[in-house]
Amino acid sequence: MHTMSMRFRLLSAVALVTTVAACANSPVSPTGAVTLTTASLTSPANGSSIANLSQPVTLTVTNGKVASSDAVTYTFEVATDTGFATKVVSQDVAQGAGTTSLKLGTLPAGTTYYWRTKTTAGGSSSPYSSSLAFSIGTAIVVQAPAPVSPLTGATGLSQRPTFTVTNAVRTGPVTSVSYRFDVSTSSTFATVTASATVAEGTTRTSWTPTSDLAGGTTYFWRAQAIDAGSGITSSFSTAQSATTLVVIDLSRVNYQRFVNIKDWPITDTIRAVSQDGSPFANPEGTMCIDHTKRGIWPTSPFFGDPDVPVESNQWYFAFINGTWYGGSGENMRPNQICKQGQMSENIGPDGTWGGPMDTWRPRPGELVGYMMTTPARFWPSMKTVDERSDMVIQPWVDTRPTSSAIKK
Amino acid sequence: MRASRVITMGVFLLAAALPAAAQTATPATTTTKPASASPQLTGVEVGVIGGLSAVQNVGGLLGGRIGYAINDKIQIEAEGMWMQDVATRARLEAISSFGTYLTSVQGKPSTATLTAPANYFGGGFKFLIPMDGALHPYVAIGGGMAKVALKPVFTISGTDVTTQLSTYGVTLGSDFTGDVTKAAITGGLGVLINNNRLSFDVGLRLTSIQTDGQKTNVLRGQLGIAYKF
Repeated sequence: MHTMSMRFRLLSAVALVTTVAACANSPVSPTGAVTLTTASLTSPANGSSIANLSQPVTLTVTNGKVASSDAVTYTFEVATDTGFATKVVSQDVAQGAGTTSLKLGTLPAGTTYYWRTKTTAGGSSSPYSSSLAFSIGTAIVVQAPAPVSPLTGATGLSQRPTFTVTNAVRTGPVTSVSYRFDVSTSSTFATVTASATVAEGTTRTSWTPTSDLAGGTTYFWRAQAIDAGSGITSSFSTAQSATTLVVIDLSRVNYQRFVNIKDWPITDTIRAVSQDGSPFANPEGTMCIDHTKRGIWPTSPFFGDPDVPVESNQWYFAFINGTWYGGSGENMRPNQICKQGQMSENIGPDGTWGGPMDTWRPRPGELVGYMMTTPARFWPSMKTVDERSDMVIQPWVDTRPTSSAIKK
Repeated sequence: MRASRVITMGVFLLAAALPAAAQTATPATTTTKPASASPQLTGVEVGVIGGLSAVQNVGGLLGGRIGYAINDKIQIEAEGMWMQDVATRARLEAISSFGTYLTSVQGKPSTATLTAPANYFGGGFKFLIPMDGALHPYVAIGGGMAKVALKPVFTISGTDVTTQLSTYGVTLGSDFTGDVTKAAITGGLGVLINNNRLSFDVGLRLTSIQTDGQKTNVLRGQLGIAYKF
């Protein structure tokens, strides 16, 4: 009886141990070897709107917690749907210090994207985080403006020509468009002579330089549109080339032995210059300068002879070796506008200019300046009111046959 | 699971052994044993073990053992036991940091801790120092298998969320949950106190469970009572 009782007690004790031992089971099954957490999505924040131009977007997460020293990676996924059926990015990134980031490539504009991440370390992976959304704004496209004027081949531009383009065609959320105009003597625009950015006009945009361009010079010009909001610039318009009028700076003219008339007031306007340096012209070597003060300006006696009143002088300007020379030519009677004998070969020698113009023989096509003034000789009694006309520059004409063309 | 089966098998064997032991023991009560220096040290004995186990925390210990005295100096024994908590400090600190993390992420007071009850089954030897009288000091060595069950508990605002951790972005790995069975080695010392058919064993053991990364060293203070057949 004693033996049976002792055996029963032992069996009971062993049964208790077995029952207790069975409790040594974990209630939760592990997933992988390492306990870890999903990272926290930091930026871009949910619902962010990102300008297309601000790409690339950088996704940043605050690192998850990992209970091991194993290498940790974060899988970033970007999709165009909340279910991540259409993924545009799926990339693993090694853990950074505190945060981990992935710089995306350029995503198509005008689209909403969803992103999420999961943590992986030591063979364990967290579930994907909840996704956040961000959108890429509509792409801004600004086309190059179209040149209107002056177009290639234009000549006779003033020294402050107005450059005009048709406003650029654009798409997307453009805010404020302006236009940059460049003017250069080089077709490559290596050196820009003048440049400015102006606000957009209604349908066209124009710009006029605020300082003179060089006269008689071919300039290239172009324009580009700029969206101030996005900073997007169009390509440049097709460069155009145009030539400014030749101008003569009277303050730099060498007047040889004649009066410097640069400060004389301009009260007269030349209507037309008609000349022919040919000896075969009728009359030979005709030189006519019609002007508005013909018959109006006062006269003075020609060297004191009251029977020979002089109303005005014709002026010629020649460009010789890089310098403009000028001098008074023929004396004109009241209302007279034409003289003869101004052939190409003798307009220089006959002028007794007292300088390089003494041997000047203009060639057909050579630019020559013309002006009318009141008597401008160094002969005090012949002077009247000291006024002048504007300047006209045009090619020298000599209609003689080619075989007898003037040779310098 | 393997350890459970081993223990169950041990219990089965123990139960099967008891009738045989009883049959052989019965005549012993009616016959006179030959004279011996320590006749009570030989033979088969079956008993239970209770006590305390300690790693970082102190917990209970409960088990059973079967022993066979080859002679008065050497005993062979098999033992199986349950230890209430063998969680190491490193593991407790590691999981605690997840509580801190959850607090920061969830913005609510959160905790994370775990207990690690373990089953151990092994065998070994006791080398006794025969002495006159009832007290017999011994040194024990042995080895076996230990199954450690990691039982994490996560709370947020006082609510146990252990089974819903994925909701909070936490994935539990085998470092904080699940069962692991590893080899274990044991060494210790103690004193056997014989009292006719009962044997009392007061001892200290150090069981080193060969867990990955860091060994789990369990200090056991135990008292055993065995019945000698």
